Amino acid sequence: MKIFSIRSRLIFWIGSVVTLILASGSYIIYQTAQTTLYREIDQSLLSLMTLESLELEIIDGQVDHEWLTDIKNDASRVNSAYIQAWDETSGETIRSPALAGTDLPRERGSDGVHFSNILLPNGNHGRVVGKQILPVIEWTDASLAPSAPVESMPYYMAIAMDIETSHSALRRLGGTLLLGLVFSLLVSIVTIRLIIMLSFRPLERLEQVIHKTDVNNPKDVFEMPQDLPTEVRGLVTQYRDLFFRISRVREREREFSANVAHELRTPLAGVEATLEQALVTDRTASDYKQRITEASRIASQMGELVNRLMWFSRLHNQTEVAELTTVDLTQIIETRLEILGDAISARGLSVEPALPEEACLLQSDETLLGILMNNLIGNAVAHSDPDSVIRISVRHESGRVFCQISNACRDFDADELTRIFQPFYRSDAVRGGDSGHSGIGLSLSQEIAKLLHIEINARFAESTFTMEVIFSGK
Amino acid sequence: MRILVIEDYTPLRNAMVESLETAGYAVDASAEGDEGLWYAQNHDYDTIVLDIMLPKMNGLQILGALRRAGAGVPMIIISARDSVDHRIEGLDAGADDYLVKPFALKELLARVRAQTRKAYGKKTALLAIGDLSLDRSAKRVLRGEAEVKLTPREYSLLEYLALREGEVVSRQEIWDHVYNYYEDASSNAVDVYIGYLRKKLSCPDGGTYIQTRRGQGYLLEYKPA
Repeated sequence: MKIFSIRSRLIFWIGSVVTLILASGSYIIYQTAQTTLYREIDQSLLSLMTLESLELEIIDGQVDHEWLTDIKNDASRVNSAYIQAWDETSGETIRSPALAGTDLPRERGSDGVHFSNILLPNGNHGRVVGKQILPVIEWTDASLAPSAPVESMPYYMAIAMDIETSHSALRRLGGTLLLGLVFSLLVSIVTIRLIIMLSFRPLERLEQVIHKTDVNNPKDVFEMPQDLPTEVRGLVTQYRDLFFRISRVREREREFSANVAHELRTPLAGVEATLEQALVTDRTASDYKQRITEASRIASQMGELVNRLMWFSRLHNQTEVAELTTVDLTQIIETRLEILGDAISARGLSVEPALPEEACLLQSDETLLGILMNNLIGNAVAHSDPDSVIRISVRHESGRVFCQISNACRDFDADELTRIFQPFYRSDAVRGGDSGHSGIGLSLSQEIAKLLHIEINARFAESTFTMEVIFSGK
Repeated sequence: MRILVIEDYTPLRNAMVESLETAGYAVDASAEGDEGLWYAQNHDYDTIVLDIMLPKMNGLQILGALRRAGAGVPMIIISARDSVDHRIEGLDAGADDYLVKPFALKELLARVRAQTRKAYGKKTALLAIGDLSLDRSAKRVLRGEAEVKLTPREYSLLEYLALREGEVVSRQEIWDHVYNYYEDASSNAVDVYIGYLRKKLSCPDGGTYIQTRRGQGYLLEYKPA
């Protein structure tokens, strides 16, 4: 289906409406002129009919068409008077000379008077009036008075008038109105096009501005032209906001890709440099072993990072599906604490668990929940102040399960709370490659929480950092 | 030559330090941005190797701070960010070179040599003083066609004097640019090695390469007997 532009539609519809208005106006003007003119003509004809009908007499029982006599005696009327009379009783008819033997129409109107347009014998347009009349009866002697009433002797008289001049004038008027209509229409269309063109100019400028805007540069937000029509300002504002959001998303994607590249390239550089340095000169076996072990450790960390990135990517792109089963949160926490036992001891930490004695059963994905708790508890172990206490609690409340992990963290900057869930964010304490922290753990945890419909919050107060995980309960 | 390495990733930092020390450089290293800046502001380095993504203060901030203070020390950025925009950003911020991770340590050494060469106004890796020639790439010293065998420390000392050929170099400058801080800081260590070098470079005709300027330092310049 062909799509028409706003411009075409405006021109078409406005043009149509203007045409309609102009045509209607012209028609009304023409009709008014014609009606007025014909009214005048008809009045004249009726007056003439009144006069001429008096000229039809029956004198002493004999019909006298005195009107005919008058015409014949008036040279100016011989060729211009168009009158015909019929004896309705006998059917006989008398015509004026100008009719040249042709008949005028003999029709009856609703009020006995009938008007019609005809073509006269001379080819001109004419207007005719017809009417039944009664002759004037006169007698010179009472014995000659007719015995029948005059109504029994009806006549029909038709009188025509040459209206060629008026007809031509009407025709000229019609032509003028038509020309005026066409001219007005053309001027209207040109004016409409000009107005539309001027109105759309800000949009064309906006189009050029948008065309030049670089979607990859979030700072390159286009400025709205000041003369933009108010009707489209809202739309353009929305578009600009959308564009800005898209640019921000693209920037975050680029930043994420750059961070991924950095997080993979840096340990790769470590592996390469360690092995290159191992080979630069002859070394002892234990030296080789130590360097190879170091390279292997780094490679293992890279593998773990890649694994986490794959999880993150699947969760972020919503291609991962949770496999819900009944899991015991308490057992998951206890298992994680056991795995992290060496790390806990190495930092002189102690753990105070406040876990329910009975199993804390939830409907969740065991693997993902395990990753989540591993990340949270692992972070607590890594970031706690040395020789401090980590508190882990699980409680039921209002049909929900609350799990809190708190640790002392004197050096944590509270302003960083808004950033800790960003991909690759790491505190300065765990940078350096020895801790194995990639900065993707909390981002991954957040994605897991979204998928499993878990709420996860972070708080920091009085040198204590707390992670709270809220489950909706079984 | 003294090099500062500022890199937070421990395995890479350790490998670079070891590689540079093996090549005869005195090396200081830092894992944090603010500490690295302190090192750079308070010591005289021949080249700084600088990562960008550092804790506490990133590499570009360090670069900017040093350049604003008028420091002309050559700086090589090492970064995992390889896009053209990032390279331009680093170079426009004042870096003399930009090396993308992962890189070969040999390449890093070559770039450090190139930067130190430029810093001392030398166009090639070959330095010549009289009939003495010093190949910085191969770390070889020749007098005429004959090779002069030097220990790594002797070579570093000679290299530094050769880069500053014609200039009087003080003991402190030699100490700052040739020795690691953890080494024995005895006051005559420089004099002892100058003596070793003189002995190995002694000419049959009695001419000498290393001249002493009392109270000022040493000057590498051939003087016939």
